[in-house]
Amino acid sequence: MNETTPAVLAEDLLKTFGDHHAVDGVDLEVGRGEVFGVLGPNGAGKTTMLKMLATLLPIDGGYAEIFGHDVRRHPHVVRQLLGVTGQYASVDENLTATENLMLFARLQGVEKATARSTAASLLEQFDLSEAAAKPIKAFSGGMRRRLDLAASLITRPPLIFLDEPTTGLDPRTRGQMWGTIRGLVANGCTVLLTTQYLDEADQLADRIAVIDHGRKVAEGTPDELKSSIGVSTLQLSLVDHDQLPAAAAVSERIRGEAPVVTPESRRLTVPLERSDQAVDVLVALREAGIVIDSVSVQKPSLDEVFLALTGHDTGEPEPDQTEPTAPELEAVR
Amino acid sequence: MTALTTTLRDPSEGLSTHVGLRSTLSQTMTMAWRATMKMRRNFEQLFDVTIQPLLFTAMFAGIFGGAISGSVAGYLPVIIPGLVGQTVLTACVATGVQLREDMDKGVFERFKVLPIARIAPLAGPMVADMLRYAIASTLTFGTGIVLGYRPGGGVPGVLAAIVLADGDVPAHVPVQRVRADLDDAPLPGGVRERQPGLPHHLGDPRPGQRRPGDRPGRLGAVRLRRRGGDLRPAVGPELQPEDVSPASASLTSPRSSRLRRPSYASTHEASRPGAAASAYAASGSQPITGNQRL
Repeated sequence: MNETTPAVLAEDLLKTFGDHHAVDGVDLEVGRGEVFGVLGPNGAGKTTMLKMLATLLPIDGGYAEIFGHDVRRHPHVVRQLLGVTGQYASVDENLTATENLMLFARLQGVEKATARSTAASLLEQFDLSEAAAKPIKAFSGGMRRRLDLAASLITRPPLIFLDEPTTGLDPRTRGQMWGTIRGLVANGCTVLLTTQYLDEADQLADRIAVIDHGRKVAEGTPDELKSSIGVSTLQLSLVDHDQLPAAAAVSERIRGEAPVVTPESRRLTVPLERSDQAVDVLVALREAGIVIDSVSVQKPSLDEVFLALTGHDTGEPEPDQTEPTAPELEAVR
Repeated sequence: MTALTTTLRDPSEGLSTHVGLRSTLSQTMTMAWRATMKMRRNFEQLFDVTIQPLLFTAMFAGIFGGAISGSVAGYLPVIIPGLVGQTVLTACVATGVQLREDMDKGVFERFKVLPIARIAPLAGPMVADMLRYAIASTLTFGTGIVLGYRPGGGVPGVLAAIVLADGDVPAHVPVQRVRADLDDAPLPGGVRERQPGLPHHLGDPRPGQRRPGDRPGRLGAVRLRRRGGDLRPAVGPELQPEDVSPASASLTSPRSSRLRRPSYASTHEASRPGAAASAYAASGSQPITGNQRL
C-alpha cells in the first residue's frame, strides 16, 4: 500500500432489503485528507452506505476498501482506522461524559491513566469540561453530539464518518459543530460526512456526491454542483405599483436579463448568478428612486437540487454541467 | 493495543488482524464495569433480585408451605431451589432487556464499530449479572434458612448450587439436580430421612447408595428440625437424633452443634413431604438407618 491509496474506495456497492435496493451500485473514491460530502434526502441510502463502509452492515454486492483494506475480508483492521459518529448520539446515557470516554478508551486498550488524561483533554477540546461529571441524561442535543464526536476521536483514527452530524441541532450549535469538523480536517483527518443540508455540504465538503434512491446522481465540487443546479433569485416587492416598469428596466440594465414581473403582487424576480449580485441591483434601484417594500434572496432548496439533478425539474436543469455519472451508473446496472 | 498519540494513526502500520485472548478478557471486564456502573445508577434494577427472593420465599413458604407439604419446613427444600432457579431466570430477562435498550439507543452500534472482540459487549453484562444472580441466590437461601430451611449439602452444597444456578443460565435442570444432590447428602449420624419407593420428590430413589455404617462427611448435611410444633425428628426410638437449633446452627461444623435429645417415638420426620412421612410413621415400620453410632 502506498501513500496514494484512497481513504475510501467503493465500487458498485449494493445493499438490498427484500425487494428494496437501499444502495444500488454506488461508486465512491475519497482521497486522503479530503472532506467528502454525501448529500441526499431521507431514505436515499446515505446512512446504509456509511454503515456498510463502517462494517456495521454486511455488503451485499460490490467491493469496498478503507485505506486499501478490504472491508469485507478485514473488518477488524478497518475498525481500527475508523471513527464513526452516528445520526443519534451513541453514548451511554447512564454514564457521565468522562466515564463514557474512559469506557471507549479502555475498550480500545488505552491504559487507565492515559485514558483519563485523554478523556480530560478531549472534553476540554470539545468545550465539555464543565459537564464532565454530569450524566449524559442531563446533556443537550448539541453536547451529546460533541461528546459522540469526541468518543470517535480517542484513538485518533485517520478516517471519520459523520452521519448527519448536525441534523436536529440549532443554528448556533451547528456552527460550533462545523468548527469542530474543520479542526479535524486541519489535523489531516479524512472525513466522510452525510448531510441533508446543501448548505452544510457547501460549508464543509471539498467534494460532494448526491445520492437519491440508492444511486449516485451527481458528483463534484460544491461549485460545480451549484452551477449545475441553477441560480439564486432576488425577490423584490415594491411599495408603488407604478414603479414596476422602471424597476424592471433598472434591473435589466444591471443584470443584462429581464426580470420576471408579477404585477398583481408588485413583485420582481431577478435571476442572479451569485447572491452578492443582489447588492448591485438594490443600489441601482435606490439611485433610481424606487421604493422597496421587501427584499429576499432565495437559494435553490434541496428539493430543487434533487429535482434538477434527477431530471424531474420543470424549470431549467442544466444536467450537462454535472459529471455524467448518472448515465454511467445506468450502464453499470 | 492503541496508545493515544498526538498524530493520526498510520493507516498502514501497527494494525492487528484479530483480538487476542487477553484483550478479549480485558474488554469483557471493561464492559462488565460499565454494567455495574449502570446498576449503581439505577438502583431499581436490583428489585427483581432483592425484593422478589425475599417476598416469594417468605410468602410461598409461609402461606402455602403447610398446605402443600404439611409444614413450612417441609416445603422449604422444595420451594427454595425452585425459587433460586426462577429468580435467576427472571434476572436473565433483565439482562436481555438491557441489551435490547443498548441496541435501540445506538450505543451498541458504537461497540460494534470499535475494534474489540465481538463477544465483549455480550459477555461483559453477563459477568456483571453474576453479581445480581449472587445477590438473588444469597437472599433466597438466606430467607429460607431464617425460615428453617437446612440445605442438605451444607455450605459447600449451597455454594455449589449458587455457582451452578448462576453459571448455568438454563437453570432449571441443574438446580433440580443440585436439589436432589443436596437432599441425598448423608445426614449427620447417617439418619436417612426419606423412604425408598416413593417418587423422587417424595423420597430418595437411590436407597442403596448409602450403606449402614457410612460416616457422614465432616461437612455433611445438617438437617435441622424445628423444635416444638408438629415437627419431630423422623428417627426410630433407638436412634439418637441430634437437634440443632436454628440459631446455633453452624453449617460448617454440624457436629459441634449436635445436642443429644430424647427420642420422639411417634413423630414423623421433619423433612418433606409431611403427608408421606406421616403415612410412613403410621405404618410403624422403621426408617432406614444409616449410621447408628450416635
